[in-house]
Amino acid sequence: MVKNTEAWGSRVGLVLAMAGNAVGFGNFLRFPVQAVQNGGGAFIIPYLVSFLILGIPLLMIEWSSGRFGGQFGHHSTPFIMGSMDKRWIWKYVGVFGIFSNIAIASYYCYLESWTISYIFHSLFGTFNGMSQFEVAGFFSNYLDVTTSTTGIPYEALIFFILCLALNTWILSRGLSGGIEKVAKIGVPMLIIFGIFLAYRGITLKAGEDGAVYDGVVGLNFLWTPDYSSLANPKVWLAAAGQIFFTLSVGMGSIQCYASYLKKRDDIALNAMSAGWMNEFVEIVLGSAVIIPIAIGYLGIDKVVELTGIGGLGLGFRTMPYLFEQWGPILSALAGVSFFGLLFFAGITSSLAMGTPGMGFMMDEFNWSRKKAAIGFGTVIFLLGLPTIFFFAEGVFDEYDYWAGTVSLVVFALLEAVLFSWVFGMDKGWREITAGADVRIPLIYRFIIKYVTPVVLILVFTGALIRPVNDDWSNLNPREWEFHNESIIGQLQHKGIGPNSEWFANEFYAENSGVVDSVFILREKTYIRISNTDKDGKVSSKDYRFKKAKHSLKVQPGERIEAGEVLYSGKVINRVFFIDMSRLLLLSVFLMISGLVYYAWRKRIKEGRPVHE
Amino acid sequence: MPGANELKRGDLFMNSSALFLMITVQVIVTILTGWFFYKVLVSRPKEEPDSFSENDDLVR
Repeated sequence: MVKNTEAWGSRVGLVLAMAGNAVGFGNFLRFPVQAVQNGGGAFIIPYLVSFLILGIPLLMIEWSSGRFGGQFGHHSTPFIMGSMDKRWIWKYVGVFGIFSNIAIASYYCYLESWTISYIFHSLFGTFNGMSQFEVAGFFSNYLDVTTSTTGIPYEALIFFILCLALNTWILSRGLSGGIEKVAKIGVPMLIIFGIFLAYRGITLKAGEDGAVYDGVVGLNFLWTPDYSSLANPKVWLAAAGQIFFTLSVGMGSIQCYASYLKKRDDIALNAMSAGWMNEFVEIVLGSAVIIPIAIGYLGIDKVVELTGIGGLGLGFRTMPYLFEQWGPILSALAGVSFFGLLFFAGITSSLAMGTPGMGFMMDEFNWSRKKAAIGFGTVIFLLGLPTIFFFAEGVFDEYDYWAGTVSLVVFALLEAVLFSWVFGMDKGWREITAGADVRIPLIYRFIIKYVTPVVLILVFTGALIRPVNDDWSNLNPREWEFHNESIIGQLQHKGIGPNSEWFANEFYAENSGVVDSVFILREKTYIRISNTDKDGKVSSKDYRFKKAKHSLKVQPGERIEAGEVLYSGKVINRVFFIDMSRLLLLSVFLMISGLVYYAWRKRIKEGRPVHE
Repeated sequence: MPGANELKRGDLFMNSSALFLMITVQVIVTILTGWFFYKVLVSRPKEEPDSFSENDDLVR
């Protein structure tokens, strides 16, 4: 039998790998946007409170569960959780710890591949001379996989394959020979790149290099506290959510990394060090890069508008244009730094996503490390393809929502219950403090047992029944309307609009307005419907259609209401792709559950222990 | 966000509440990050066999 003999090379390497696992795109793209949308500087209060009562406890739970399971030779959550309680259910709860990593890696590696592509384009000056509109259009072109931005056909797919091959190769080198080496290079590099960009952002002066405002205006905007926002539950839920995503808790990758530790080795200090390192990157560097630079050039109102489309849009649609203002050499350097730091942040996380599935196959099916790495790469490639080819149809967002958001909260809640109430806090506290090089305050015993599970229940309930407009003031159930992004709202297909059938013979307009124009872009035909509100603000939506297949039912200049026929002909609606994505993710979860069942039966057959 | 839009072109400083909050939080986070990492660096390694392969040849 092949024994999983992986080991960490050094303690610093382990801490950097754990910090690298936590530090991701969200530190630079999600955190500042969340802060802007949730009370500015005041957001830091619920954020730090969440870190103390949710983040640190979950880090302790995951590190100690992982090390506990590792004593019995388990390196993935199904059998780690199975070793903590013999009831069969926990093994299947542990499936989340493999499923989330695989599903998230499928779209995360695609996102990571964008950064490689953008480093390449920054170096070769692709963005030089482009207008802001053209830079934004470049990103849309890039995401439309059939369009090439460089003459290389299927460019986005090729960069994805390159990125995946790199991940697979590093994973095949093992913990100390691959992941740890990348972390030792990647984490310091991203901090250096972050410091360089933060320095540029903060020292940006109005009137220099085309900047309209000083960089400090952006910092001032981000950090000015709106303390009244603290009364809004939305702000607290957003802060708790941010802590989740930034620390990579609720995924199963921390347990996997920690499972390679021996019982008498410290976890308390390591967990604190890795956790605070992530906070440093997020709070100190993450707040000083995109918002100060973007506001310096675009002003507060425009940036507030851009944050509405999220940090990814701001990072990829806008930042290259802003760097371009710094001249050809500095813009190349800034582009390489920005997308380089995102790349290092991304790869140190995606590598962590590979290890639970690999550990499972190595432990249970005697796979060699190389075979497990190739297996991981193949699965991610196959699962990632729909996110590339059907990005515009919402597949990427579905993966992100169900695997990258809901699964994390559900798994974290269940693992907190297992650790505190089933495994028991007495044993749990002994696990946390065994070999500790730092004293954990006794209050954490209480927090882990009572506060963290309650907060997790609140976070889950908040995600489940989130009200429209985030208005939590009206608690009348009869008048409760679910937000489009609440779990129930998603299951009800809220926000899908009039095109709610998988297949149809007519396509209905999803917004009201005047048919602005019919235009051809990148060899595809679009129709634009624009509406001007009472303040004179124009909003428009473009619909793509195929001239050969569809017959347009409106003329330019004509007014159309949402729900009226826009064109006729055979249509596959977005809802079809959304439902197929969900079905695919559910199938993956069930397949992993099947593998766990098979592995359990195999253990019984081979006379190997199943409950330790 | 009250106060945020008050700064305009050419303003050099942040308002006092934003500046105080930013500096306080960033200093605390930086100190704690540095302190925990320093503790990791200087903590005595555990007796062999420990979890780390690079120090296996070291005599303690």
